[in-house]
Amino acid sequence: MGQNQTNLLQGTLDLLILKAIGDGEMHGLGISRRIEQITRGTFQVKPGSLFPALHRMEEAGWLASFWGESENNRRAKYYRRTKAGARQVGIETKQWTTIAEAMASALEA
Amino acid sequence: MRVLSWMRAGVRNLFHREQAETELDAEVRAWVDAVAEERIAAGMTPAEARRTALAEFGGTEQVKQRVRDTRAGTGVQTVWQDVRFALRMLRKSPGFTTVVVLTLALGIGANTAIFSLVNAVLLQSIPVRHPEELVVLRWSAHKWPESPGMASFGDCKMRGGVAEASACSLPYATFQEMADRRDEFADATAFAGPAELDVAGNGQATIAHGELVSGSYFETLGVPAAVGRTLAAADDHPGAAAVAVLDYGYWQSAFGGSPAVVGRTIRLNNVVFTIAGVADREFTRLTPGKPADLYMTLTQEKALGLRWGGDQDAGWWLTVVGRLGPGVKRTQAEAAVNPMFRNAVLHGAKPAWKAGDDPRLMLIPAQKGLMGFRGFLSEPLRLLMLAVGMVLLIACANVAGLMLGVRRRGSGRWRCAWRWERAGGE
Repeated sequence: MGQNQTNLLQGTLDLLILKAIGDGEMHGLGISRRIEQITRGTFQVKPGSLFPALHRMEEAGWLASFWGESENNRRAKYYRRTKAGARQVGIETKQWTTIAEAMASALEA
Repeated sequence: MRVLSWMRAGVRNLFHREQAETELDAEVRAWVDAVAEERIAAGMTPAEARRTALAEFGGTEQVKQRVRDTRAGTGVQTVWQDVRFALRMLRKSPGFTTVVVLTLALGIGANTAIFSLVNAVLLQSIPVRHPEELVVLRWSAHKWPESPGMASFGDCKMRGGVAEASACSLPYATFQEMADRRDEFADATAFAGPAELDVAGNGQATIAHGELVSGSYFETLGVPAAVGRTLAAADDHPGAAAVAVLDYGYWQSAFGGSPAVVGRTIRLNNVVFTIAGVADREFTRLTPGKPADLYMTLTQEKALGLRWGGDQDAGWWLTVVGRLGPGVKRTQAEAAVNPMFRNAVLHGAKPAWKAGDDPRLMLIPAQKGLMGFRGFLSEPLRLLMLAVGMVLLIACANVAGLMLGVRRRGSGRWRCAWRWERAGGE
């Protein structure tokens, strides 16, 4: 795995996970790889961060899980977004955009 | 919604821990297996593939523990572990446990005892219907009135200073005027006493405390009868039959709680009284520390040989309590009754004051105004409460000191056991 391991900014992980799952259904490994892909390799989420986050988000009601068959016919725990999770994407996107714009303007100044 | 789902998860984690653990285990294994399988497909040996997959995962036990830490209900589980640890520790040193339990029991016991006293004397409200509507009438002026006699029975504090006098005792005329003011008062009552009365006609002769009250007493306070009836306005007319109402506690102790008591006659100070009924069980007192055994009407005063009212009933001997009418504010009623009061005491047949004495009538909430022994007990009680509070504090400090001693002696071994348990051991 990655050489350019960037520390995950506090609070971005939830949004990344929700984004990565999108409207589909994914297991943990899939989510980890999808995050790496959509961030062009910048963020590599290790199980030590991903698992606690997934369980916390499930308990918060943003994710729902079920056991299903993976691509190579193995049992895997799949996650999908709930309605509350979809709402959360909106909230966190807004927060993140505010921060990003603020940082950008601060750096240009 | 979020709280609900979090609570549901908490319940699952606490009570179906096994299932949550099995699922977590399976989830972790599925990840490692999937990565290993990909590596094998890419040409790695199975052993090598598994080893690298596990290494990259970053320690399955650590990851699992991190998940457990984030779970809802982790706090409850930790507390439960701490409680069990505490119990184990207490069992191991019975001497220490005994000392701590005794110290705390003493501190808590003293506080409970004093607080029940404080509650009874200072906090509990008058046991009647809507006690907050009741007001007690209190006059104040620059000097004592020119009255034919003033009597107070300790219902509220009398104050007299150089240029200040104040008390609750009022003449019958004032009570009557107040009782007639239906705009301010829904009802009003006057009372005096208790008097020590010789009771005969019920076994051995005894002494009982009898309160003289107006016929409107029980109706004003909203106290029903437990047996028979309470006093009525008709009993208060001159020439009305002599009737008495018993206090519930007195009825139990002196008459064995027999319902046949209604209609029976007893002799009070050698006057024959018929028992009309028994007051409600809840009604134990109006003024704190002043319980009465019997209630008779004010008209019986002379017959009982009491001379409280003085000649022609002009004495100032009655405590007057009114129930404010619906929606009437206390200050508003106070403003309304004052002109009448001033007129009566300044320009009556026998003026009690001169205009320069500035007599005023105040309506005090009965809870505050009817002090009884609260007047002289409240200060010592407050001090006592403070003192026992300090005792409890000292007890806590002692226990803390003892704990420090015990921990230092045996901390190593216990702490090890604790850590082990917190890491998931049993």
